[in-house]
Amino acid sequence: MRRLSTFVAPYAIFMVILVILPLVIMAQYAVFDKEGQFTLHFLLSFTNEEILNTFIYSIGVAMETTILCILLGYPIAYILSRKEMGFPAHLITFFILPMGVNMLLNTFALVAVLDVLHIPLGTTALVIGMVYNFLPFMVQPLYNSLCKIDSNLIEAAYDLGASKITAFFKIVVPVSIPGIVSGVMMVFMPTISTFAISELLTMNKVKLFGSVVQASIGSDMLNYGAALSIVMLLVVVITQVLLKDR
Amino acid sequence: MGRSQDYIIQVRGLSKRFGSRSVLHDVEFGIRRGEFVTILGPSGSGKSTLLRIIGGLEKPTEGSIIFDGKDITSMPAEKRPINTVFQHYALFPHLNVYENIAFGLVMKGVDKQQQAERIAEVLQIVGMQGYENYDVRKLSGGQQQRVAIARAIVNKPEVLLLDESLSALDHKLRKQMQRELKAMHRQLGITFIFVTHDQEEAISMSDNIVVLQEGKVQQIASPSEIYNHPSNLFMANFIGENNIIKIQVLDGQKIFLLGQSVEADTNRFMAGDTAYAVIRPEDVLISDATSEEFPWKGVVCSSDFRGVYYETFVQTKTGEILQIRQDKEYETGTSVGIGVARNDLYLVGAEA
Repeated sequence: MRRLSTFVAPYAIFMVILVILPLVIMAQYAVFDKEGQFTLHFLLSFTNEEILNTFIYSIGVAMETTILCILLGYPIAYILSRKEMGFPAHLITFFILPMGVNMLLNTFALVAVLDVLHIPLGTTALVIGMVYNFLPFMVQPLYNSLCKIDSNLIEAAYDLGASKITAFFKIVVPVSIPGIVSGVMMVFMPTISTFAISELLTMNKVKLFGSVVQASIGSDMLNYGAALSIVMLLVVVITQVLLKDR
Repeated sequence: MGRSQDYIIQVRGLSKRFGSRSVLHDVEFGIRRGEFVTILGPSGSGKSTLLRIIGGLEKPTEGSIIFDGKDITSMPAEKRPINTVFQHYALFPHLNVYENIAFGLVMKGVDKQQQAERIAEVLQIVGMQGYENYDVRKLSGGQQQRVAIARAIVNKPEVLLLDESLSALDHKLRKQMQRELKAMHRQLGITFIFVTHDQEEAISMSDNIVVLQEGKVQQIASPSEIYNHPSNLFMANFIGENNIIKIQVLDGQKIFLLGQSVEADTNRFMAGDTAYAVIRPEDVLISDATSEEFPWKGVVCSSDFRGVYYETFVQTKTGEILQIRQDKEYETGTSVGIGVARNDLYLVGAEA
């Protein structure tokens, strides 16, 4: 046991320096003003209408992105996971390849593509960009969990009188829920805090919560930015807890 | 062979190719209502594919499946009055024992009350009462097996298919499940088609056995017929431990065996044919070398106690080694006389 704990030490140090310490500092910024006076003003400012609207709008965009990613990602992950459909196994690589490219580069490339297609930058472009960037993060866990489904399970459903569609909704979808949950975690949580994509694809017209945080920190309003970050973090933690229960 | 209406399932001229690979070749046989039939074959013989075609999970390249006189070749699995117990059980992991068994009934639209009655009934048959709310993933292999059987028979299929269903169980449990399956077969009175690679299992459980090898039917017969009269060289090698010796067929009910001309039943062969003599280890007679009554002489290579008999290996003058089971021990190196009764000499050809 003693030896095992030696191995844990580096991770403990990592946790303290890179996770806990920054959180403590951020929390401290959130509850003090520039003069060093304790105040709840910044945290409470979250309730002012403009910020609240931005917050709700951001959650809306994140949900929309997540749902679109499931609707687009599930069929392709399913088709590629069923060996009997005869698609080459490495085809999945093409769908998750964009994951390996920096999100900013992906988004710059998309701006050019949208221009060619005459799609104006704005809210539609924003959702397209979000889905484009986050789809691989949905496809990957879905594909992994669907691959693990034994084709005998689906055949057993047919054998017991289920049609193809019934077998899909009664067996495949419920059995792949762990994959859907990790897909949602991979997509929903980062989309709440994203800001670069919205700036580039809406020419800074649409403000997401992430953009507000970024703007306040960029314009020397550290305390305000920290307070908003804490709120955002709470949303992420709550999502995680809710999903983990599944 | 009975009339065609005696058969609940008829397999007619069935062939299956996956690309250029031929898995089943012109398979033809019939299964009578209420029979326990085993499809026996080594791995890769096409037996599982054959079962999947009967169950409707695979389409044949050629040929047809007749169910109760009707051609069901193109009928999908979900419409067939046939249910399958899969090799690794294929229980639905997100459903509990009760919900797993109820699945087929829900698909058929059976009402809740009737579902509950039928599920209680099959749980009793498979001996799993009280397990309704168990998570199927937490059950042992034997229990999962029972739930898989319950899930299939609750639908009252006319034919139950069992794909290598006992292979994953340990020896003792396997023996027990063999007995229970036989009992269920008697109790339910439906047709069982059981697939296995284990000949002992096939012989102890079945009314009839279909032996497949490389996609071709080698023999269709009762267990005792298969054991006593293998149809060809493959069958003689496959079933039991036999001494198999290449022989020449001579004129006048005689064969040339191990350098001697001896009498044998050669009715199915022509003089000059090459065939194989199949002799069971327990049918080889052995005596002192001085005895003149036996045609062959040999030297004992080894003689080991095996519980109820001694297993003795004797090398003949022609170099063949014979496996012999008798209740007497022979010392290694002694010369002995060897003989076989005319009736214990069974001849097979290379092909059926």
